[in-house]
Amino acid sequence: MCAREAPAVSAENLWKTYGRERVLRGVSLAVPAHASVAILGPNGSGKTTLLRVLAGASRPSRGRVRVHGEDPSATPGARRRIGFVTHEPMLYGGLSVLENLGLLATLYDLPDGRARAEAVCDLVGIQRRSDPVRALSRGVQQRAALARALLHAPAVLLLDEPFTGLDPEGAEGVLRILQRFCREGGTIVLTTHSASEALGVAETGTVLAGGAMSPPRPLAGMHAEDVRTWYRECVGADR
Amino acid sequence: MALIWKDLLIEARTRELVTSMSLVAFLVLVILSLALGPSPQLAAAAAPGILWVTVAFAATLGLARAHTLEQERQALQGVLLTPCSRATLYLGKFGANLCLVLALQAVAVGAFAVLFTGEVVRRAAWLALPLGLGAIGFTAVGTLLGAMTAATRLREVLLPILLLPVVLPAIILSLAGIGAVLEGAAFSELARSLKLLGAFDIIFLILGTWLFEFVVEE
Repeated sequence: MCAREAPAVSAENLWKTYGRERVLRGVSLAVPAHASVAILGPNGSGKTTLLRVLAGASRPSRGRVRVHGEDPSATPGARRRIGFVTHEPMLYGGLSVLENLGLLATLYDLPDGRARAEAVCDLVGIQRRSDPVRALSRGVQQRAALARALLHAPAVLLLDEPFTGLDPEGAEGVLRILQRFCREGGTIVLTTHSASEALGVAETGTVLAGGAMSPPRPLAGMHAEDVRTWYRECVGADR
Repeated sequence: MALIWKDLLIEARTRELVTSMSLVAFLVLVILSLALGPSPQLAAAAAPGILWVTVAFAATLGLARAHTLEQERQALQGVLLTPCSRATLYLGKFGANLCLVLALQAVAVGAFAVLFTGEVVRRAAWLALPLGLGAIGFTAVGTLLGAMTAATRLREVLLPILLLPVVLPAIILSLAGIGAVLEGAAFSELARSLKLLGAFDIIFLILGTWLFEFVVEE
């Protein structure tokens, strides 16, 4: 398990509205450095929106986000500390994985971009790194997304259901990478529907339902069925 | 440069945009040549308009598609997560789009020479000034509005509706410049159009670099 230190990710009273729809309603979150937190929640509960706001990809309507003390949407340098994985690989389909990573390495101003791109491809186990991304299977694209997120050696990984579309072997591989990232001092915020995925990666869990978040709860010693029961209680309480 | 290289590499592999834009341009020119008939005088008089109608029509389709590529697999989002400034991203996309529009103009001038009159090829060096400056202004606005409409369902319809009124001054000035070149007018007459075109280009490049952030971010 990861040791706990000062907060790496903090969100205070986050609100996010689209028109009249309130997706996030006063969400607060504090993730210590080197910790891993799983955010569970039903579809449409605001998990993806929350991670987008934490990543600086979307500005909150109200509230404050800090990643290692900086606002990622206002401070470009803060984005170097964040790796973000979603359902989409966020890569150009017409370029190979290596070409995509090479481009991003240039934009991150990494000194040895090509070597770093090769290294993260090795890390996540991508063999077909010279093929166009659009020709790769869903599972390999998801690994490529993880390679993209790890390229610039971020301190914080924000993962939006990173196991979606992966076969059991692929999911196991991604799980090992995340556990290693955490062992090496990284901070993880993960959204998932799966109790077993949450238990595999995170030491703390919280439930986001109806745009509001439950108090965090340690997952140590819990079984998947315990997590599911707790999850149902939180979601039921919200309804 | 990496951002321009990225777009040109994708285009070099697929040839999707250049092929479709060139084909549309050629078809427009064929239709206009049939409509205007074999009269060289009529062709010469209508040349500036024919060139810009062709370029504007084909380039608008190409710009819409160029920005759709950014939305596929949320590729643009991956770039936006880097610390790279939004102004640099705009200039990168503008540079790649400009290469496409200039290539389209070269194809259009070549096809015009074949279908109408070779006069445009003989004066190609001078024509490059009003056409090129017009392309810069057209692309500066098109890149900004293309990014704005890319995520919308009606982007192919919306882009020309928004783009053409805004770039109308650039097109009019470029038309005047092309007319001056083809009529063999004094350089001072051409220079007046070029100065105004240059001012339009600078204004919209500055606006583009400034506004792009608000267009690509929520």
